[in-house]
Amino acid sequence: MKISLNVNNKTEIIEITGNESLLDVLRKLGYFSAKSGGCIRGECGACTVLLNGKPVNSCMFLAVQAQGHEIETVEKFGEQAQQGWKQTEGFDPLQTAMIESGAVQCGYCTPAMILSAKALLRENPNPNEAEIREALSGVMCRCTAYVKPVQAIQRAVELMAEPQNKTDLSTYEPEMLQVDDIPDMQRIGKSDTKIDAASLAQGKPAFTADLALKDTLIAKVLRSPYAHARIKSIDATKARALPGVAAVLTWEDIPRVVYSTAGQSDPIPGPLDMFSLDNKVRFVGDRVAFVAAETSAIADEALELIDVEYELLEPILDMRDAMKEGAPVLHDQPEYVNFADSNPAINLAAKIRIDIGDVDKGFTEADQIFEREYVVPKVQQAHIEPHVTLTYWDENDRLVVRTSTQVPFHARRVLAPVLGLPVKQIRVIKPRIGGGFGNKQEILIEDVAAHLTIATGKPVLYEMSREEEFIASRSRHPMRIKMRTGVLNDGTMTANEMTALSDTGAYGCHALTVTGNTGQKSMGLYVGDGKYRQAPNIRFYADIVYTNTPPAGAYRGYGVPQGYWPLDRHMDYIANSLGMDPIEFRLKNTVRSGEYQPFSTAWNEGREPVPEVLQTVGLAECVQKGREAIGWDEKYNNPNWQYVKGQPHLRRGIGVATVMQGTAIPFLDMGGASIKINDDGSFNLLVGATDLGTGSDTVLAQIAAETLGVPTEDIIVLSSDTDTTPFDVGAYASSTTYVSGTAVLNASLDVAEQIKRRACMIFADRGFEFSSEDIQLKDKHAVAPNGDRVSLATIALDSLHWRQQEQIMATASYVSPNSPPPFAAQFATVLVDIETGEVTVEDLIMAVDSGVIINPITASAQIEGGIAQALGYGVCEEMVYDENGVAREIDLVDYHIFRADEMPKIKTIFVETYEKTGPYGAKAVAEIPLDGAAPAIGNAVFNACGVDLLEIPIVPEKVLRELKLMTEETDAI
Amino acid sequence: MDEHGINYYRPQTREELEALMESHEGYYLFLTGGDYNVKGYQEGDVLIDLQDLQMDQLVDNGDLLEIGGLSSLDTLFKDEILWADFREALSIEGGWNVRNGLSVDNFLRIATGRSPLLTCLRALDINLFVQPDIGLLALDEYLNEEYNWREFFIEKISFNKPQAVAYEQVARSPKDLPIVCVAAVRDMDGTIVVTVGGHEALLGGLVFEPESDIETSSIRELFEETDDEWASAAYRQGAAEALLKRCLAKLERN
Ligand code: FES
Ligand code: FES
Repeated sequence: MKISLNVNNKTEIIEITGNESLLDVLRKLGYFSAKSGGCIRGECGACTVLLNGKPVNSCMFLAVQAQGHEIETVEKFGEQAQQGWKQTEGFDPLQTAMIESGAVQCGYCTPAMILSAKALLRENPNPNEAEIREALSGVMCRCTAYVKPVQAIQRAVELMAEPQNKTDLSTYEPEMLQVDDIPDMQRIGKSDTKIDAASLAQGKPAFTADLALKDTLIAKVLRSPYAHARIKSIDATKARALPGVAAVLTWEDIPRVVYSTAGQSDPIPGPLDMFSLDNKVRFVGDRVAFVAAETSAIADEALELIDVEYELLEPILDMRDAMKEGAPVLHDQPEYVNFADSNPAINLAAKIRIDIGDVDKGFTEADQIFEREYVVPKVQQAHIEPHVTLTYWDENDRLVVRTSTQVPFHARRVLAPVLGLPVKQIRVIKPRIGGGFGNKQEILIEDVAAHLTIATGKPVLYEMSREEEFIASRSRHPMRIKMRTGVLNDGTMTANEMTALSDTGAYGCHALTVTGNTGQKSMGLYVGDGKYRQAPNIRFYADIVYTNTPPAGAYRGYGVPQGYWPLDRHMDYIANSLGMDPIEFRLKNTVRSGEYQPFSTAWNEGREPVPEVLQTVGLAECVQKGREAIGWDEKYNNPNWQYVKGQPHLRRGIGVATVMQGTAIPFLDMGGASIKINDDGSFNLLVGATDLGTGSDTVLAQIAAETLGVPTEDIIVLSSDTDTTPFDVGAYASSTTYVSGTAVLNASLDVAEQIKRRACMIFADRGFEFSSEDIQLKDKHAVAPNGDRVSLATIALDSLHWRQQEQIMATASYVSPNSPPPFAAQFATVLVDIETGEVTVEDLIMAVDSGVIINPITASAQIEGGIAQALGYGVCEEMVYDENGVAREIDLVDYHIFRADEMPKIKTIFVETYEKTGPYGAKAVAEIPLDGAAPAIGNAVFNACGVDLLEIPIVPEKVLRELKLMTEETDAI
Repeated sequence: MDEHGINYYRPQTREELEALMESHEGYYLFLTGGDYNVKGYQEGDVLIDLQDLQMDQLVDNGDLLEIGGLSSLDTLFKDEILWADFREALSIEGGWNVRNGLSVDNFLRIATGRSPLLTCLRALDINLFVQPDIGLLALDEYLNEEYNWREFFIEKISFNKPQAVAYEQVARSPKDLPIVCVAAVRDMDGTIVVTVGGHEALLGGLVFEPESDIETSSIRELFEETDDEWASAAYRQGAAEALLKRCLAKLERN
């Protein structure tokens, strides 16, 4: 059927088939700003368009229904003002404000936000904050906590009134406090606009699924309905015979290569326990068969036609049952490859035993020992762009994998043996990523599309549905954690012990390293006081077990949030039991600069430990700033604040948590960078590092710009393509700014030296002799001590064309011997309804020491977004399975992530230290905001009403149950 | 049917609609506005899109409010006739773009007992005018009967304007779907109708005549069988009683 659509005032005629949604048809027409979040019930809002001026989810309309209506997409609203000889009107004020404010992080939701705001401002040109939040309420954003998008819309209102009025960027910047002396720099510390923000705010086809190749087949995966079963037989005859089906692959059709999906350096620090397709399924959602077909509907139909006979096996659904005598064994395949202590016969994926000091002696020295068990749930990354991969053979018969990955180089290395191709025959391209948060540090879907491209010779697109994201991607490891802590009566910690039982699910990807971090980066914060500072007694033991649930993996924070719920709640419990101020107790025992990160003496992710002395610890200053900002001294234990006038069922509470993260993995994480000069004095920066919406490309450009004395826009960043950019481990472990940033710094320094030498030649022509050390690079010029200047454009032309021609360029790489931790103090206030147990979080303030902040707006956006995820971890996010291993959460309705119109107030403060080992003094930012919100909220709930929860999420029934128990206990007395 | 298997009609008049239904008896699927029906589409279906039949009007007849079945949920949100608590329940039901896309008809096809809006509509004791041939139905009748919704659509809903509406819920976050919720409506003669939700199955309700003694604990009985993966029945019972008291206090204030 041919239909005609009015899109952006243009008539589009298109042939449609079947039940094509408006979203599908708009994307076919090239309006890529409408994105798919893979939803089941229209819940994410990424596909928002305006229909007759109102925002709607285009995935929930048939395209035919939109005939005769006015459809608007972001492509209508503005574009770059300068396009060569063509001048345009430039950006819409909403786009301008989104770009300037840092509201565009991964940018996947940005077009939907702009459209919703557009519709609002047409109806109400001067909305208040609540009205703005209400307008954004149907657009889920996992990156921003909606802080900067709301600010951007407020700013757009001003811009519409006074278009000439230049934006004062400091209005978007966080509060900053400099602890160390930090030199004033040209680009470092400046909130330069994120380099991809303009393209994302225009809805340009920047993401993996936005590339349309002719004859692309659609891939789908048949998934197991059973938690544990052997495939007795599988018959795909009927599916293969279906017209439009290009290939059906079962385990019998492809090579049986054992591997790990973990995107980590070689050798992968975990067992090899997975096959692309196997004759056994180990969780509801495990892979059974792959289909490639001409359309999504045909692929779905083909899945239904595959006959599978299963032999059902007993599943393990509770991690506590995994190592029991006689428990069913998940991995009985002979190909299983052990790593370290893994033992598939007892469902043990990994084991950790770390003793620092003499822990038993420490306990004997204690006046009191505090012991409790805490529980943390399985939660999902819930990035709005699903996993998506496009594979095709290029003209040289090389396999191109265009994929939404955090780890392009690891992906290439891991895929090669699985596909039976040499590494050199695979090219992995990472376009923009619509959020990953660790879930794309996994080689999770690339093999599906690639096997089907090999089978058919055709391009294949595989995009996970939202349901698949929940049942078949990765998640945060759930854990049960026992804490045991010895203290003296004055609050000195004498020994601290954490014992974790960690559930890796059906496969052991990241099992060892995630759980190792749980201990390392939480327990490493507390050393004790006095003599214990030099010789702390710390124990961390963990068993990481297999169960028949979807595999856990990497999730932003990488095991550390699991550590801080038990650790910090335990610290609060001890302080309260001792009658000490909870802040004083914490700071008395936390590690200080000049001391060892205690775990660095004993653990390094399965590799040799390298002791590290901490140089910068701004924790005390973070606590002080956060304490002032939240009004701790006025609120803590103040009944006038805690009781709410006229609302006898409400109690207010305030809580704090102190946290530490890491910055890269020392002696392992490696990043490379190449820089070359262009004729006009601009530079190409090629990095293997992957910006997954974090702004890391911008930060790396700022580091290069600072060194080369140019504005950031003169650095053109390409990231990442395994054919053209240098190796980088990828985006994880908070390593990009620190490790890849140092690689960029080193390459820039080399290029700067070449430029200076060339400048000296030019100055010599003018009769002045200088050496390169005399030359400064600034304002796009090389500047001599006498004030003489030569532009970088002249230097470029001189070197490329005029004499002794050479390409000024350099490549450098960096692997760090250090991992300087960032520190933070997280504060929370809550309102507890003591009649229903409902908890409302009112304020979340985080003061963070991440070293020198290279880009304050981008960095604060990272903190805000991270806090929002941590808030969900604390109060509402969890993945639950029934007695058959079937997931309760398969969409973004049941798995609730916070909306714009329900967020608490969020504030970021940076306490800047100067970390000498980092590029221009920087440490990591990305993961630390995940660590503190849950325990701070838990501590605030305790402060509000005495409920002392050991388990998250803090859902109303748990709170009320505890309140009732407390009342019963009081009554009994 | 065209070569690609789509047979789509957008009747402009009731007569056209009737003629279409007659000629495709049993093989049509109504498209009733922005649309969750998309998911119910089967290859070969005759699609009858009702969007041009003016069923998206909100008519204020003094005491009686009539809302077209194809009105978007946001029409209700924006209408000043409706009440603050009702609007709050609506906003929890879905964000702005969801409310713009979802019609009253489509909402009622998919709503379950967990829905805050449905809980309010049940307390408002709305009537539905269901086509073809069914006519007037009470909401619970519509929800409890196993209508094959592929064959019917809601032309309009109507209800008598009450004196006041109150809605309270407990959830994991302010805009999350409720674990337990209570809606209470005081109609013009002073009768208070209470409905509850937050549980997949539809639960019963309470009616308090004017001047009668209100025993708030009676709400507990409604939650007796509500143990599920989200909460225990015992929890829901206690929370519901607290919420009912708050709703009654709100009605008192209004
Ligand atoms: S709401 Fe349409 S793709 Fe998510
Ligand atoms: S910027 Fe909103 S989802 Fe990433």
